[in-house]
Amino acid sequence: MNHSPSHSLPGQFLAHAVIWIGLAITALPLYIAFVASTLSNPEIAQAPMPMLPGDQIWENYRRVIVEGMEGNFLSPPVWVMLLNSLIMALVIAVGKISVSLISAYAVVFFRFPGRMFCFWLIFITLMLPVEVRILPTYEVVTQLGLLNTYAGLTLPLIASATATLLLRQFFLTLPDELVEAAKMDGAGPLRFFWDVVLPLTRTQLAALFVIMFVYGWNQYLWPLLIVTDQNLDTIVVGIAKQIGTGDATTDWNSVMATTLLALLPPALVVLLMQKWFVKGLVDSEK
Amino acid sequence: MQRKVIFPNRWLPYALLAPQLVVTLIFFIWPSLQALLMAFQEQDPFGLYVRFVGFDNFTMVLTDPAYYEALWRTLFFASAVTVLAMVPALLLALAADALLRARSAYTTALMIPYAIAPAIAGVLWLFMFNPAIGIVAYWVQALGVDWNPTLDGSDAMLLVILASAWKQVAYNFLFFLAGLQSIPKSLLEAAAIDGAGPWRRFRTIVFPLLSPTTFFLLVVGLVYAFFDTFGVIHAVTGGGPASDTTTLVYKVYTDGMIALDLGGSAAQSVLLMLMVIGLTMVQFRFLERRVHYS
Amino acid sequence: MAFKKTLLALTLALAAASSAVVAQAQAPAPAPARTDIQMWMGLTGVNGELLSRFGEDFNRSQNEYRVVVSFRGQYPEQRAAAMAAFRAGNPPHIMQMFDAGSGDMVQSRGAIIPVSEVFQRAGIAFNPADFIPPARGYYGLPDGSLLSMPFNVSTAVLFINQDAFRRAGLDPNRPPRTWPEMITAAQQIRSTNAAACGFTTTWLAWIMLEQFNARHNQQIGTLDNGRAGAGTTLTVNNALNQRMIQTLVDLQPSRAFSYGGRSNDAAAKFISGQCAMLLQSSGGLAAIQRDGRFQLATAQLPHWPDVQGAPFATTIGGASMWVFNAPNRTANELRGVAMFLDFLRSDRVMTEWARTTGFLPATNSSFRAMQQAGFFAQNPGRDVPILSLIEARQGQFTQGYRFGRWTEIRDIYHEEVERALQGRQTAAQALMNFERRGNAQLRAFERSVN
Repeated sequence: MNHSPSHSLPGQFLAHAVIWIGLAITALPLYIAFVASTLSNPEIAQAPMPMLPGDQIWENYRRVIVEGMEGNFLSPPVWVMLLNSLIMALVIAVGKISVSLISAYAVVFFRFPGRMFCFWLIFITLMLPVEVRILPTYEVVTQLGLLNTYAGLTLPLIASATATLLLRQFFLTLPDELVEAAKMDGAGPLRFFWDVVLPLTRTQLAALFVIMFVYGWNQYLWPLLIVTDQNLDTIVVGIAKQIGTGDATTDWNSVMATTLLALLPPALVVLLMQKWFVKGLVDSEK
Repeated sequence: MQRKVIFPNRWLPYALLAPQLVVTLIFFIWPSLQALLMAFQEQDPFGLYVRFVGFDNFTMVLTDPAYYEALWRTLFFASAVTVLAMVPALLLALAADALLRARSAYTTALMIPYAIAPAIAGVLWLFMFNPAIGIVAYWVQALGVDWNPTLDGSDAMLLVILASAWKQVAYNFLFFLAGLQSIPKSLLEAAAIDGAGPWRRFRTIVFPLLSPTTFFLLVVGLVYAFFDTFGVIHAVTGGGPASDTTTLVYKVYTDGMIALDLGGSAAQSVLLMLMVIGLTMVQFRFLERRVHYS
Repeated sequence: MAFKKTLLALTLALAAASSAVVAQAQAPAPAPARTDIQMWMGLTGVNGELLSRFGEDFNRSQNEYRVVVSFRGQYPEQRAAAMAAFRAGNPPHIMQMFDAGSGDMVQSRGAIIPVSEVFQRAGIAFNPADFIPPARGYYGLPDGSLLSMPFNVSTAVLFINQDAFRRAGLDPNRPPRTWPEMITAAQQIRSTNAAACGFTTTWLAWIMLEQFNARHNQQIGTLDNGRAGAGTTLTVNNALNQRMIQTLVDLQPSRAFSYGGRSNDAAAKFISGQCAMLLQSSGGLAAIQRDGRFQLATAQLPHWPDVQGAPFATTIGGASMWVFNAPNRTANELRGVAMFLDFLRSDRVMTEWARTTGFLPATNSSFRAMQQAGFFAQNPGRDVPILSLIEARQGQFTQGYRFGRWTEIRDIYHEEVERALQGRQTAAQALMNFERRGNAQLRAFERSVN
């Protein structure tokens, strides 16, 4: 039986307390967004905004869901935008992770000329802000005929330096004994990867999946630029279109309601990924 | 960094690297080279009149006092955001890791800020802190503080630091938690049996084993603070008041997209890129040797 | 094992799904009988919705062309997208560009086709005199032809909170007409604490620099405010502009004036009742009417009575429609462009646009149509902005301006005035710095287009 102090009552109490403080701070903006989504617009404009939810909750959410379902001239129906976001998020997440997995594996478990050069070449993609290279990237995508396509929306975003770096970090921590044991068993690099490395990487992969999914889900600037067919709009683009530019009015309660609804799928992904966050190793101990 | 025991294959590593390299070359390297070429040119917005001007753009940038102001501002901003985003994240991850119950629910809740698109997060913070209608602004002013980010530069800077760190805490929390969860229970139990207290266990076992993750988050966090905070600044203060929140990356945007000074903007991007590469190389060289890889 | 199986299954399912989707999305559509016309706009919400609907209305009214209206981000992002598209050889047919971006569009010769020429080539009658004079001047050339077609037009007005006026002992039906009256009213509002602040302003550069100088027929830059050619220099560091900025600085401590940001944010201070008066774009009316909780009155912008001939007309804001030039553009496509623009400027569309969005009728005929339909009689205050444009006295410097990099120069103005408001420099220093930095931008722009 484990008697480590963190499992004692004061330890648990402290842990819960820290979490609640963190929650209060991180959740505050979301709570305010929620309250705003339950008020009428004049109530929001007449500062200070009430801190308790108002009575417009059913009206606002009904309007956003039902009328959003029909779409309008500016945006397609909400379900279309959610589907686009989902496809982008899944394709980008799986694509980025797969590509980075094998790249990191190559850089760590082999020795070959140009090894570090390749790593830095991949890594350098983080160093130039997207705003700078967006014009030439747009030209390349146009020349390849990828405007207004799912391929054009996802391919340019698939090379991920972050994932490669994280996985490289993790692969470097795996003990040499594992590799030696595999070699003695006669396993080649691919067997080793599939049977040993992959299961050990599950917590990092789960974390990466969440991050990449959200990244894909929240794509705004890139879809905005290369897509003229509004049926390919993502939900974030849809929300941005609701926010009035210039002096135009904004239905803040609708914007907040849509924003919160759009958070549900990523939240679901986070919840589902919890299963893979299991402490310790599954099969072999170090 | 290189492992000692490796596989001897010759062509396999190249095959494994190929997909990432191909995409990187086509969609990143090639367009970036074109973007960087613009640093040596002077042209109109539509690319109709292009002229090679050598290092003129660089000279103009490096002799502009506004550039150096932005530089110091950025260093301050990046440090503040990185620290503010890592320390609370680690504390929260340690707390979540120690929980016996309801860990999934808490983790999900703490992760949600990361799920908000940067553009929308910026709007959310503006909504809260806007001196006219923001509810938090109202509370702060009720406490007697003269909160006015539209005119007070430090108020504005504080606001963008908080908004940027807020999103990043969730990101760091997730990876810290993943790192903590992959530390073998047996190690900690053995140490506890040997009589090591929680702080000692943290110092000698947890923190060293967490160091690969910490290093990763530091590198990524710095890059985030330098580049990805653009969206937040754009939504919340627009670089103002009086350029008090104009960081280097924001200046790249305003000079490029607003002033349409494509050459100057590209020159600044080159300098920014070199800066971040330098900082990262320093991190790899000096910090990585302290990272504990098993 | 379960983990790997799940991973494998997920990846395979996704590969299948995404390739199906990709194939589907790229499946060749049935050959369109219509020619596509791409129009990019920068409007969202109700306004964007209506403009999109106009596109659909046009498509239904004929079957030769199909107009696709799309939102490509706020004006700066949209402009960047247009630049990228142009460089890739594929710009949109029509782009809605905001007022300040006009100089950049024009001076890149070869990027655009003047709209008068588009109509002429298509053989459709087009008389620039249809458009209200300030719009014609802003977007036109000395020979009377138009470079771009005005569409959503606004101007600056003064909104007052009549309830606050009553509380302060001021006559709610007599909004301040001159700046001395403004100052007195603001101070009285503060001394009686009828509101937490006297007045505030939105769109700082547009109102305090552009509108202000037009209202007093004062030059902003040489060479007819830049409209007569390149090489213009800014000329705003004079007693009048210094006095205006100094007034704002001096009124801050008592909160007779309270700064609210560079763009539209200050409107919230007025709507929430914090400030009793607001200098704002005419387009801001809808938000005030929907969310405000007080009686509202509208008036023209105040002026300084000691300036000879003042008050003059205000200038316009908003955006206009530009037609891009591209090597692969056919005469047929340009004809479709002309037809759609003709549709947009028709009385029917213009009046619906003005009634619904709060933008002003851009053509004289649509203004008269609204008058005759009794719109202004039924909606008091809605005629104030349009009258401030067309009935007030026109002068040499009420015709707008044409400067390259004006968006950036506006931001320089914002920065310098903010520094003065922060107390870091005097009004004269602010204007001097503004001129210096602004002229540097103008010179750099001229170099880049040559």
